[in-house]
Amino acid sequence: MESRCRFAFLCSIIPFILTGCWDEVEIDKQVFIAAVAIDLAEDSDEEALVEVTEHLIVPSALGSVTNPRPGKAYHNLSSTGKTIYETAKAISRQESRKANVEHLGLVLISREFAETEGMLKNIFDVFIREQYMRRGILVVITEGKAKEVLHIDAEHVSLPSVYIVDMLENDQTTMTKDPVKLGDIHEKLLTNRSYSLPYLSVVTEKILKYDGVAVIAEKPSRMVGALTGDISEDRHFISGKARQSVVTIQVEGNPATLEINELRSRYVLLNENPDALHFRVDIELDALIKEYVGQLDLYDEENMKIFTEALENEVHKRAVRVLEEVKDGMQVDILKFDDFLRIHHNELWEEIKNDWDYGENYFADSDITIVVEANIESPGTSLKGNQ
Amino acid sequence: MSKSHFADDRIQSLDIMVALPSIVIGVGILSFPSTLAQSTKFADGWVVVILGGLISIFFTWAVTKLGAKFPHQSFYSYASHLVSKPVASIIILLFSLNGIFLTAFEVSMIGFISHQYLFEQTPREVVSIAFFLAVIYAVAGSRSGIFRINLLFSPLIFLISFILIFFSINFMDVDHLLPLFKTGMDGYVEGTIQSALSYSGFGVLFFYIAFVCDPEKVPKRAVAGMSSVVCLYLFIYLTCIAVFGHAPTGEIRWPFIELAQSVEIPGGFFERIEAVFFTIWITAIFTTAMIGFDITILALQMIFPKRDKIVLIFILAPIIFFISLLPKNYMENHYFDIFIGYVSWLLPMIVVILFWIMYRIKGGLENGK
Amino acid sequence: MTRRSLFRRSKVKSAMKRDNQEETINEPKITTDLDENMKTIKDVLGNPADLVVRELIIGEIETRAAIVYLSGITEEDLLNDNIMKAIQQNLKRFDDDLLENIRKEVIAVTDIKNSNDFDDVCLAVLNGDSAFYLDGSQEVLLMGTSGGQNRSIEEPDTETLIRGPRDGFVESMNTNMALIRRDIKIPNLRFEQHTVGGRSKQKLVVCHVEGLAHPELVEEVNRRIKSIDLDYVTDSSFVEQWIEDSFLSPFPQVLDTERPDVVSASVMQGKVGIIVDGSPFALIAPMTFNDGLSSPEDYTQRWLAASSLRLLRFLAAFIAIFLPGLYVALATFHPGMIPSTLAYSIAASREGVPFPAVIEAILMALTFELLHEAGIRLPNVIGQTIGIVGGLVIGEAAVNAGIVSPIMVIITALTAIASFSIPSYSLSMGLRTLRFIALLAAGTLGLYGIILVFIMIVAHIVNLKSFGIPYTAPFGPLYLQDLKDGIIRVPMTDLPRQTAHLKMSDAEFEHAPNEKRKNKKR
Repeated sequence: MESRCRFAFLCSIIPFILTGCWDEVEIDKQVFIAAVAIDLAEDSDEEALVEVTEHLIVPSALGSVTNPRPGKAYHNLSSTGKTIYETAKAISRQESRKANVEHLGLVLISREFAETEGMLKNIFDVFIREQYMRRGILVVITEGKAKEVLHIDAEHVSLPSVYIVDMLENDQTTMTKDPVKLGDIHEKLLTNRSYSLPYLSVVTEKILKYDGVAVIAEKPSRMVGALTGDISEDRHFISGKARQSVVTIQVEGNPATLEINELRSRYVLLNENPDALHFRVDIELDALIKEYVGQLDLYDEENMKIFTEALENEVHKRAVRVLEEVKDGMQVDILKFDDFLRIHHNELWEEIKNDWDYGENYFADSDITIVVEANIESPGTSLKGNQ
Repeated sequence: MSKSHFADDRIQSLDIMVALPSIVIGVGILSFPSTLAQSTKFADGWVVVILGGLISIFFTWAVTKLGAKFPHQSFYSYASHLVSKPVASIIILLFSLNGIFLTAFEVSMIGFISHQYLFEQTPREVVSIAFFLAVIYAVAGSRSGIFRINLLFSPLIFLISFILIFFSINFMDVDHLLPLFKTGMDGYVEGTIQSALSYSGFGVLFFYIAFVCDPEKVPKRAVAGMSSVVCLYLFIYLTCIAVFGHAPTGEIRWPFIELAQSVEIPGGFFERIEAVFFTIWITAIFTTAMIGFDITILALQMIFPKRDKIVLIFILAPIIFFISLLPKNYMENHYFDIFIGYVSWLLPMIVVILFWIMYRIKGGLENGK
Repeated sequence: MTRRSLFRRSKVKSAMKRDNQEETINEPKITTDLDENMKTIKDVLGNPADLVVRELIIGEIETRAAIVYLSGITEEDLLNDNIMKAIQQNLKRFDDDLLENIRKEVIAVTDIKNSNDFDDVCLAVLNGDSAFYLDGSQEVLLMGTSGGQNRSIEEPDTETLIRGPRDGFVESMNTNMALIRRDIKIPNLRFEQHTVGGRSKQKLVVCHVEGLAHPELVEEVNRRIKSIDLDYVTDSSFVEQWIEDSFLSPFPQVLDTERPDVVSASVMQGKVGIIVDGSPFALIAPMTFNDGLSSPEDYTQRWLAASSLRLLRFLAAFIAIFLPGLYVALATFHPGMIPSTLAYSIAASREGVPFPAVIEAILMALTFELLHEAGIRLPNVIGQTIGIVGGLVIGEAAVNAGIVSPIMVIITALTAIASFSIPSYSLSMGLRTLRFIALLAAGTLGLYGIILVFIMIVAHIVNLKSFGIPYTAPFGPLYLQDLKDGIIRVPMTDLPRQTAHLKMSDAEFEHAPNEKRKNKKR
């Protein structure tokens, strides 16, 4: 009986092997898309809305560790169309091999595109819906045309996409600490919350710069502005992620530079009236003195107070500047006050969540007080300032 | 061929403990967090996971306790004692139909999910039939072989789940879990029903308990087996919520697979483990389909004792495969899913309640005959 | 077993009929006439060149006698010193029952017995014993003089160890039995002798320890050995293939070993050893999958090292079956799963390779099998060249010529290494065959195909049994106690004395079949 069963089984399995392989595509017959740039379509027919540029890897030009090859190992193809998927299909007509999106790790969007109302929300959908794409895809906004960035001719790596991803993930300064992944955006989109994206600009033909963050409002869905330079870094004083950020203060006319070693921020809601919300942000920080050319004795209680006060004032000043820019200027909450309300004041949040930073905009109407408490942890290896 | 040291159809209570998770864990868990996230808020689903789990544990206990009252007796024999022969035959037919549909559903799901994560062009029929042939091959073997397969696969399934959960820790955000207890009463009730539905499968115990050599231990072991499933579901649910957040979990079709897609194992050989994960998960779906099929055959053999097992398999296989091809799109499959969920819950539930009532009235069999 | 004998039945019957006819025509018998006896034995054996018939006259008695033996398989020193001399120089006179007196007083050999059956005599002579014919007597003395040239005890080549005993089995059954005796010093050690082979009779012993081995297991082994219906058995592998449960399976169900310590250890676990005369490989039954991956080294090394080696071998078994398949599946179906940089470099390395990855993998696997086969056939001295040819010419040149990609060479090499690290050679051969199936499945259905093959292999081995013991014990039917010697090997102090899956309690035995019957009745 068993052998008859086995025989029947063999007979039925053979057709599979004979019919062949539907999904088989040799790895060398595929072309990997490492990054996608999205721009507004220009001057073509009026139907087209987006211009998609695919950044394709040419593996054979990459060389190996023992046998590196100079020159670029990528090529970029562009096309325009109504939706991303449609455009991608159009691009595939220019390709000689089957496109593979499984190694897509980066999406670049031009500022111009992001600022156009309603565009941003629509393009993310395809990246989330397509099962071969990862939720870990990094998303950035570029100052100029996004496709220009993909033509950057970096000197140390052969692929612009690798250059950008490294820049986003590994360069751990305060500003660049949190690369934004597609999965994060998905969550924001579903809950209708605003968010920020890394903001890059081209410095020269060979160098890119991490400028700051682009602020995306959810309703209407568009980019409302960019926080660049110090402000983008200073927002972390409020959000509480400002480790390793550097603050320079003036102590009796001499500059002193301190590095923030540890920073905690806590939000407190003082007034629950939706029309006059009042928050207090408690910032506690520990700092290390890194550079000081004054003459004060650092082992003096009084002197330390001077330092502490100066630091507190400086941080307070910067935090207030951020608030002015974000709350009063852009009127968009990227500082996670919404999460705070959702978790700690859920009833209130349910009431106002649909008018938080749009519509009624309770966020812009709220008052925020900032309280800073600094602690100087160590003066470094020398006790006195050097003249 | 030879006199064996092990009587072939005899199993231990330990095997039941392992078989229960094997049949409960299948395709349900893949979409489970999503279903719960739709009816409850934030991480409150854990309450309903446990509530639903307790209900299923209770029924598991009820089924096995009843079975233990009739040690070493087939379902048919004690069912006919309790509710007369014709009714017993009808119940058994219903169970075999349930088994047929369950197997067909798993086979059809394999086709759908692998189209989503593994294949694009390969015809769904081919994917399904390849899987189904493996099921047939396993079912054609001995029954103790089936239990051994469960023993070998279940550690694998638990292991891959916990590896996944472990590596998700990096991606978790505790903020996603807060605040607690914000769901309304309606949400809890609906969620409990939903979560209880995903624990369906304890009906098989009616049949397998007859082969157990130590039936008095079975209720305890079966409850332990079911509890392990509840624990696993709880961990998976919380991980999904913590990683994705509440709203996306509700929106994602198969959050558990998506979890594998988001997780990056540091320094791992695999960059994306969702294909590996799903591939290993196929073994979980396999065990469910296998037991479903085996129950069908076992049930039918009680009604048609003269028919050879292999003959039954070859008669049933085309029918099951045909049913599995019926759903043409994801909506039809979804309705199939709901149908299967309710049937495999209600049938054993009604039967066990009925049997307990009858048992109270009629009492057990004398001298075990 | 039954199926096979059914298959063979008609053939066997006709053979038996033929034998019977031959015997009735001229059935050789032992008579009282010495000359006639000599003629008979010469006729039957065809008077070969190595047949020695030494006629002699017994010293004082002056009666004719003859010693018959086959030179080469007889220990002639013993024959000359202890038998010939003693007989010729015999000074005594015996009155009654000459043969009995010679046996008792003259011949100085320990192993001696009487026989009056010609078949017995013939078989004894063929086994290397000497037959002593006395004129006027219808009985023959058979003296245990078998011996002759044998290989000395050496370290087995196929199963070398870093730490452990260095002796290996030889072709002589008696020596082999002695080797086991030396290891196991308990009176309960049993050697049960069988004769197998329809035409050429070969000696075979079944070895077990009474009280440790389950009586039913021993009975079953004996029953199967008795059922062997082969014309001749020169090696234990013949026996193995005849008595195993499922002869179609790629997995061996009887363990073979050249090491006496392995047999002793197994016998002390309650298993049964089978030694066939003329074969340096002993068989051990029953065997589980875990046994195939265990090595004596696991017990001579300290537990941590031993456990990691066990784990490593499980990994090796997995690699040996699935690695080429996995590579093919990843490269052709799921390139997204490979880390980006690796994917690019694989793509780059495959650039210009004319074959699809499956064909490439099959080609390389076949090449490897060829090299392996050639390496075995060649004498050791030239064997080295195969390494050079394989490594340099096939590997290096094929890559340079662009026929295969370098990654594929790495994959093939890894698979080969993994398959050789499995202690049981027959198991590793089986796994290597399965590799091709995994490869084909991967080529058609990718990872999905591989997992289906995996499921099928599992479904196959859980239904396999070796003499009633499930092949997947202790994992299959779970024996918690035995897991201590499963994937890991716990410290010696915690190790169970006897594995539980072999130690079926008697109560369980008696009840099981009854219950089954009861169930069936209903």
